[in-house]
Amino acid sequence: MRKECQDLNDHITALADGEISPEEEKSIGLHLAHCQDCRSKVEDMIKIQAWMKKSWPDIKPSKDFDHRFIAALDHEKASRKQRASWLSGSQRWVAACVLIFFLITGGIWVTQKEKKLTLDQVIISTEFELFRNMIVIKNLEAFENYDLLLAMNEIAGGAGE
Amino acid sequence: MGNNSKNDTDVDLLFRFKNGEEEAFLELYNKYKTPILNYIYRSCQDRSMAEDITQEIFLKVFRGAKNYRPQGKISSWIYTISTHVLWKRMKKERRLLMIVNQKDSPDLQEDLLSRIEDTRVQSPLEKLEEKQGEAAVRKAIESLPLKQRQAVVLSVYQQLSYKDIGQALEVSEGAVKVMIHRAKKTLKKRLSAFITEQGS
Repeated sequence: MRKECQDLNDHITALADGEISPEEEKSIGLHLAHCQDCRSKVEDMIKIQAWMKKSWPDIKPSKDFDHRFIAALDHEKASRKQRASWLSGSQRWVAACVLIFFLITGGIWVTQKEKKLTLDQVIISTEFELFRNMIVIKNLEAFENYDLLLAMNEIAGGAGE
Repeated sequence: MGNNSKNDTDVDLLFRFKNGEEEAFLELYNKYKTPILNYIYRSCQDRSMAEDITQEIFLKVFRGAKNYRPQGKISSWIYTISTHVLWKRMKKERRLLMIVNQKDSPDLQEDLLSRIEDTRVQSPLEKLEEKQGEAAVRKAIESLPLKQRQAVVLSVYQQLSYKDIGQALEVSEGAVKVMIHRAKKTLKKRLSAFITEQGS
């Protein structure tokens, strides 16, 4: 196949659909003028498209199509209205109160949840407790030795006098 | 329907609908219901499903029109919605088909198949199918991948430009050109023999 014929082969459908640029049209037109093979290929494509269109004609919507659509549309409009009217008048206040209630209770719940200690926090707090206890024990030990120290001081004082 | 609005463009119709004229929406619906129905019908090849999908499409157009800001052609926007609704439905159908195929019970499959057959026999479409030409075209188009099928239907039957097809299918114009080229090459191969047979 010649290069020109190969190039045209890629454009046959676009050509049959009238979807080529004026520049392409010019060069393709020149080629088609003297290439019978390519001309018949383009003609075949146009013929097939026309035949396809003729062979499978358009269908019309069924008789109750509009009726069904109008019913569906009415239903759509009614539910839209219902949605709009649901938040009107006193119901709007009720909805607002319910929303505020949930926001407050939700907020409380979240803060309460945050107060609960995680495992790490529990471990740290227990260890801290232990640490504190150790200091207390040390102080107690010191306190126990206090009498001894006091007695030693008294002895030392007495000896000095 | 308003008499003075016969020559209104799609944008005018949409603008009027946005301003509360419901008749303008019905005009838009009347203008596009048949082309959209045919686009969907030729893509899914099931008349009752096509009618359902078309109704769903226009309900979506109704819902979306109030917030729509014209960026391109209104028709392209409607075709884009159509493509989305069709894909969604086809996905669902394919999933259903997979579920049916996975079922161990052959009775269920037979039952479903026989029901499909029954509706086909009763359908007036079946009478049309008897025409060999139409059956051949349908079969050939059906064999194409969904996107190619849609591109061909929009090109041959809806006569949309490649640019508009690109917008409807959300692909570039170049991609449309390639898709249509491939699809028509396949169709030509499949249909040429039939046309020659008929011609002789």
